[in-house]
Order: sequence, then C-alpha cells, then structure tokens
Amino acid sequence: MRQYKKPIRRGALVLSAAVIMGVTGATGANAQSDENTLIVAVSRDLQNVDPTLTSGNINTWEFLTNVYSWLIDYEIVTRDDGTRIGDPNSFVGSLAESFEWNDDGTTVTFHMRDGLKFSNGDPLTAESVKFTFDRLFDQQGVTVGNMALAEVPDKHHIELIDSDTIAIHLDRPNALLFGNMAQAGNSILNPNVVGPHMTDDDPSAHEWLKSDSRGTEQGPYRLESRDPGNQYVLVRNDNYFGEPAHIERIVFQVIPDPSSRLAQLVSGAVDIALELPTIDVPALEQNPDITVHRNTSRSIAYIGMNNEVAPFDNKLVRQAISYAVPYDTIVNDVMNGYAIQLKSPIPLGTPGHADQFFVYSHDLEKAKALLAEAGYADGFSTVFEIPIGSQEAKETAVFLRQSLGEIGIDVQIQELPGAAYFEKIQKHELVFFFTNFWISINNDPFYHVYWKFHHSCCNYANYSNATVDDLIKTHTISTDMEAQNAALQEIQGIILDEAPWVLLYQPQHILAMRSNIKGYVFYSADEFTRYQYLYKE
Amino acid sequence: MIAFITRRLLLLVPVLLGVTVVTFTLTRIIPGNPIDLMVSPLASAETRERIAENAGLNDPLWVQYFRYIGGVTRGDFGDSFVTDQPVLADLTSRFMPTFELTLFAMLLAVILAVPLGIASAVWRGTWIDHVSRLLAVFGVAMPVFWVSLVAIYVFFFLLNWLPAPQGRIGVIITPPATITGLYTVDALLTGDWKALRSSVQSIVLPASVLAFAAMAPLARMTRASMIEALDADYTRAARALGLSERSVVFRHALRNAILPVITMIAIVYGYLLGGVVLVENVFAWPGLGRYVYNAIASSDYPALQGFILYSTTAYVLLFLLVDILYVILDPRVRI
Repeated sequence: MRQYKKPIRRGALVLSAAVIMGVTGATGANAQSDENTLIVAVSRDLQNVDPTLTSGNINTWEFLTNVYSWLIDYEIVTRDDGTRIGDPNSFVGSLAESFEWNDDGTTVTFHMRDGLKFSNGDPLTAESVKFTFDRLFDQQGVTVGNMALAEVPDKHHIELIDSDTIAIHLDRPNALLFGNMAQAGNSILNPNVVGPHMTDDDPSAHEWLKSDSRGTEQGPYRLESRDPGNQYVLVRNDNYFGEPAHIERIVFQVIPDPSSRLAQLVSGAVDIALELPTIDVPALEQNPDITVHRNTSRSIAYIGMNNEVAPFDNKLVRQAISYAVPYDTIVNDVMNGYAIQLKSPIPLGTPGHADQFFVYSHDLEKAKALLAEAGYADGFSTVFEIPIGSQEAKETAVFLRQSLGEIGIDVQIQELPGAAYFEKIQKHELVFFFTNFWISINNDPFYHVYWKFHHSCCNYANYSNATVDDLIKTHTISTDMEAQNAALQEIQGIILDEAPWVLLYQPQHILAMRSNIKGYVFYSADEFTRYQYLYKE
Repeated sequence: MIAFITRRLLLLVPVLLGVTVVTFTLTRIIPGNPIDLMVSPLASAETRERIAENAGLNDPLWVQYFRYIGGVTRGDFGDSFVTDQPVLADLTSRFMPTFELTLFAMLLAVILAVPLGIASAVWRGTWIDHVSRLLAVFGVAMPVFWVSLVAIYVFFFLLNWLPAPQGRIGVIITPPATITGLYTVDALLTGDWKALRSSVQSIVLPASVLAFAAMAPLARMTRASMIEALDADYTRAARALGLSERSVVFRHALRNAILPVITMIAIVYGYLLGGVVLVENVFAWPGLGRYVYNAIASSDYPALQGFILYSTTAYVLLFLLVDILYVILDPRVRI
C-alpha cells in the first residue's frame, strides 16, 4: 500500500475532462426551433391560472387569453399601413355566433355556434355558459365587480333560454358590458371537468383551476405541460372553433434576466422575447434579423399627488409642479422616444380623449410665480416615492428632482420594494409618487374615469371634485353618447385645471421577434399577444 | 457514534423552533401586504377581505404562528401566495436543480483549489503562489452576477461554444427519465446521450462561475494550513528520516492540513447557496435561489419561511456530516 496513486488520479481527471470537452465541444450549441415550434422568453412563470380569480400577472393573463375564449371578442380591423389590430371598441361573436340587443338595451341575447367543443372533446353549449356565470357570481371573483359595474349584479340576470341561446339582462342600459366581457375573466368553463372538483370546502373548484386548465380550454391553444419555475408549453387545440393556430407548439421559457432575454433573441436561441428594456430597442430596430412591433399603448404614466395632504392639497402647488416638469426630456431621455406625451388623464386611443385642455409646459418662471402665489415662495421639502427596480421610475425621479430643485422644492427620492409600494398605493398612503402600471382593459372613457377618479379602489391621488363626481355618476350608466361626450369634455377641463396628477407619457408597447415570424396582430385593449395568428416564413 | 448523531439531530428541534419564531416575526415586520399581490386592484373590498380571511391574514399573529407550526409538524408548510402551490412541493421540485448545480460547482472548486493551495504552499513565493493569490483576489472581489454576465457574453454570445442560458437543459430537449433528479446523472444512467450533452453544456458555465467564487477561500485555506503543516515538527522529522518530498507533502503534511479545509468546504458550500441566488437568476436556472428571490420580491411569507426552515436544516445537517468526517479522518477526535 505504499504505492503512490497519483497516476491513476491524473488518468481519471484527464478522462473526465475529455468527456466534458467531447460532449460540449461539438458545434451547433444554439439549436434553433423548427417552423412548428415557437420559443418565447418570458420573465416569470405562470401564477394562479383560475380565470376568474387570477392575480393580474401579465404572463398569466396572456396564457389565459390564448387557451380560453369567451362569448364575444374584439373585431380585427386592417389599418391604413396594412397591419391588423384588434379594435378595442368593436365587438364580434366568438363562442357566440351572433348576438342582438332588445330595443331598450336591457337584454342581450347570444346564439351559440354549432358543434362547439372543449379541448377534451366535450360539447360546449349555452348550459356551459350558464354554468360558468353561476360559478363566477358564486365565487365573487374579480370579474363580478366589472359585471356589476355594467348593471349585471347577480347570476339571476343570466338566463338560459335553450342549449343554443343565452341572455344577459341589465338593470339599466349602458355601453360597458361588452368591453368588460371580451377578456379572460369571462372564459367559458367545462362543467364536466370543473364540476367534479367543486366541493363543500371549495364550491368554485378554485383549488383545481388555479393550477390547471386541461380539458376545459376552448381557445386556439391548450396547456400541454408545466415545469414549475422553468417553462410551460402550449399546443394547438384541434377542437378550436376558429381558424386553427399556425404554429403547433409554443414553449414559454422563463428567463428572468432582461439582458439574457435580449442576447438570446439576437442570437436566435429564442423566437420572441418579452419585456426588453427600451434602451436596447434602437439597436434591435437596426438588426435585420429582428422585427420590432411598436404600438402606442393606452397605459398611463403619471406623478400622483395626494390631493388631501399638504402642500399638495393646494391647487396652485400642483399647477406649479405641472409647469416645472421637463416633459420632452422624460419622453426623449427616459423613454428613449418610445412614448408620447400624455396630455389628458384619458389616454390617446380612448374615445373622448381631448388634449386641448393641456396648458402645461416646462416653464420654470411660471412655476415659481405659482408657487409664490400659493405661499411657498421659499419652496418646501418632500419625498418622491417610486417602485424599486423600475428604470423608468428612477430616471423620471432624477429629472424631476433636478427641475423641482430649480423652483425651490427639495425632493428626496425613496425607492420602495414592490410589495410595499403596492400596499401603500392601494391604501392611498403615497403622497407624491410615480405610477405607470394602469391600463383600462375596457376602452370606455367612463370605465376609465370611474375607476381612476371616482371609485375608492384606484383613485390613488384622492382627487375629489363634486362636479366631476356628479358627471361620472350620471353618465357612466348611459347610452346617450352625445351627453357622455359633453360630460367628458367638462371632466377633462376641470381635471386638467385642478392638476391632481402630473401627466407624463403613454409608452409604446414593444414586442421584438425574429424577423421570420409574421402575422402579429396588436390588441390595444389588453396588449396580450394572440399566438394563433403568428407563423414562420 | 449513534448516540452522538441522535443527540445532534434532537438539537435540531430547538434550533428550528427558534428559526421559525424569528422568520415568522421578521416576515411580518417588513412592509408590504401580500394581499395586494394576490388580488387585482379592481376586486371589491369584500373579495379582498374574504381572500385575506381565507389566507388567515386577519388572525392575531400568535394564532397564525401556532397554526403554522401545527402545519409544519404535519409536513404542511402552507401554500405559496405567488405560485399558489404547497410550499413543500415547490421546494422539493426546486431542490434538485440547485443541488446539481452546487454539487458540480463544489466538485470543480475542490478539484482546482486544493491542488492550487498545496502547490502555492510548497512553492511559496514563486509565480505559482502569486497566480494563486491573484485568482483568489479576483474570485472574492468580482461580483458573481457580473462574472456570469461576462461569461455568457463571451462563451455564448461571442464564441457560441455553449448554449443560451436557458436553464438545465435545451428548451426543446426532453429531460431524461427521473432516477436521481440530477439531469446529468440520469441522462448518463439511462443512456440518453442527447439529454446528457445538453444538460452538461447547460451546467458548465453556471457551475464554473460558482466554482470560481468558491475556489478563492478554499485555495487560501489549503495554502495556510499546508504551510503550517509543512513547518511542523513532524514534517521535519519525516524529512530527517529521509522520506521523499512527495511522501512528506502528501502523506504527512496534507493529512494534517486537510481537516480545516473540510470545514472550509462546508462553510463555502453554505456561501454557495447564497451566491446561487444570483447565478440562478442570470442563467434562468429553475432552482431554490430563484424561488426565494421571487418570494422576497413579493412578500411571499409561506415560501420564505419554508425556504429558511429548509436551508437551516440543510446547514445543520451539513455540519453534522463534517463532524462525522472529522471522526473518521482524525483519530484524535473521539466521541
């Protein structure tokens, strides 16, 4: 046993090194997907996939949008430049082949398509629709709030007429219902699959639906497999009623790091990469291998000022700040030009939007004068709160700090962790803050102002004005378009004068993909990609 | 020996209880209410209230704590607020990816660092020693996520030698049948060469980056304790007896010097579990590090508590293993 063992050990090392080299040294490390497979780089995994009680994470919503259908959907229209978009204000039958309103606008009757099937082959009928809405109201999920806003307060307002026909009754006629219905929250579920999971403890089968959808899908794709935290795979649903999806299988690969998603898109390791930083977009647009789809989003970025907290309870202070913000700099340098300036709390693209009330510009003299008039000639100190990890928020904060410094307002920037930021914003505890996550899925201007300036949920700046409140109360539930339009003009005039927010920008929705992928259709209502239209050349 | 192990395992109980008290309190003190991430802002106050009630968020803290402990003893760590799955199932499914990555990293680090440490002790002050010191400084000083990004840029983007950082195996390659849960090992055992190739290609870069960070303390510790051993009387005695230098270094000095290195390996392994959070994020590795990263970002209390409990247990067991190794390797330690 005196024999020294080194030669053997060295041999083992050399051998294992050779194995590694042999296995990895081969070329073609970047296998590309074939024409029937699409690889999409996403930033995070699916969360709770119960369509009526999901959390609002965008990957999850996009997943739901691709595996489920609902009674009606947005109409696809062709723009002047030849591109196709989903029109957020025009609705056509989806699972329902047609629909008609009664004369006074209180009942809409849907006629189901013939031969509809769920992904497992079960028939989809008006009974399935009734089952879905009964469950929805029993569960009291998120969708119920939107149904109630459209004056459909409970399940007794959903009437099963026969197995081909179902009617929805509204307490008062209004224009909100369809905009609230064309989304995953109204996905029609399969009673044969979901029913058996309903128990006394869990009457809505949430425990099953939150992590599965197999057998109850009826959309262009169905869930094939999930590897938690890593990937989820959709495969074409052969029982889909519409035109079959072009690409058979879509692999959503979770790649949390944005620069890694970018590098993999450029190298061709993935076909589409979501959520890329805007600073990298110009280089992508120069790249012939990449197509960048840019569409103006209706999501709004603004600086909220709590209208009940001094000194922001003073209209002159809010106006002064509105005159001090360098709007062009923020659009050009923070957003790298991938945004347009927001000139009304109702974004461009929403009916009723008017920008003639926007009088503000970057005018420091005027800002100083207003501040002096408000009694703050020497300025004041305040804290500006932003969510952590958002480059947009951080850069906006820096420019804001600099500009307000010039009129004597000393701004400290406070970054809040995601959970803390959302808790405070939803409790209306933020006083002076950045926000950019809001998009009204229903492209109805009253839906928008109702949530943003009227309802306690989302009026984060605590804005209150008796006239605006009255106008919203009177005209939200209405079908009198002319009166609604007049009211919208008045609302925008008052709000812009009172300046409860500093309006910043509407970003562009950016989706970058390999240039051999064609057929993209932008849906401005929710901005989720409908993968069924994509194909490879 | 059995009594020793039993005693140590029993000691685990109060340690873990203490950990649960601390994590439970801490996760509740930090700002951020998980309910805001669980439901849409449009949900009515009643819906929010009902969901908070169902999640037990409205009960007094001590009630929540005892309910939690009760669950833990039955293997129920609660459901993650984010994934909506049982935390134990989440942790279990993410354990093997992390174990595989850290195992490879550790093996690589030990294979490289220990000989390097020995060499720089034997040839003190020569270029080998300087190179070793330089590597150690770089390994400690450079942030692991930055090294990861550079490594990806060079080996994937520029040279295209290694595949895109897409996790444990190529996106469209079917993972091997599960035997151990380690993709590389399973692929080898089942003879699935395509999976073997892809999984080895995928692990090379993240494991090397982690190994680079872990090497530094190991090499320095090996060097220091080898120097001490080489200067010791028994080494002089061995030399005086005319033994070959090889025999002196490896049979006499190294056997004495290796004990602190083993402790260091355990400590470094614990440190690797921290570094793995960043590496997993950059390499899209679906392991515990990324899971806990997301849990922190979203105030996912049950997931955080479960993870801390799990990693404490792993740490305590790791050091138990080290103590047992000591007994085996060092005849002076007796229990």
